[in-house]
Amino acid sequence: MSRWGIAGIGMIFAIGVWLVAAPFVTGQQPDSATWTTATRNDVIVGAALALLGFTGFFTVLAGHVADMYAKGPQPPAQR
Amino acid sequence: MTRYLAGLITATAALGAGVWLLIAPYGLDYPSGSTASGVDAWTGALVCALSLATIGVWARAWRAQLRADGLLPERQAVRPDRSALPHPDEHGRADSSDAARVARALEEEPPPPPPQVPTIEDLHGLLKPLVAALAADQMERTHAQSAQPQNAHPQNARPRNAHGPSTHTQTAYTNAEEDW
Repeated sequence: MSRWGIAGIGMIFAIGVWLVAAPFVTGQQPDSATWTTATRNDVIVGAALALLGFTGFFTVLAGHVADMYAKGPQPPAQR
Repeated sequence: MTRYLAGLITATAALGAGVWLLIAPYGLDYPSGSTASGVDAWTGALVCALSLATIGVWARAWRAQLRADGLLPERQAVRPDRSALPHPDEHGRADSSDAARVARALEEEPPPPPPQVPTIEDLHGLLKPLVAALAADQMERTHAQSAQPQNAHPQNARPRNAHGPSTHTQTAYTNAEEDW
């Protein structure tokens, strides 16, 4: 169950990266020109989403590891 | 708990960003029909859908963990609805498939608790003082009838039970209790 949640957070990070790159990839922002309002908005929101996904991913990972420490050593899995 | 909370907070903040992306072309006056409008709208819709799904996943995971830790009660099994059971037709017969469904529904129901039946010890405890009192009364009457000529003189007469039960009454009580 948590794997799907972690995957969702990873997708949020990926969408943030896409949003930062989108104005330049789609050609709506010409090179060596002043950034348009749309470009500024996309870059800011994209960076915020990427930062959110990055922070969220590692916070979830830290919480998972903290739970493992709290449970203590587990017996080895039967093969 | 930290990971569930972090996941929920991240997904909720992303939902806010997605909503902003949806309304940004109107709020920031993008040129109508521009590429930026389409990119923001599609990306915003994708972020909203993904955030809602992630919120649901984290909420369910947290709830399952709380149930596993015993902090939330277990979900109760769904009992069959008796109003949904089939009614017999005018000949008093029900469809065979309906009968099978009724049989399954009744099998799924837990058996009712056994009724509280009084034991023989309870009955003895209830009847013992009554029988003892009856036996004592009978013995006292019998003794009074046999001893009536001795109590002919009024100065020797003593009212019954003037100073508690007589010796015969106590003996009768004891005998009746021993019989039980």
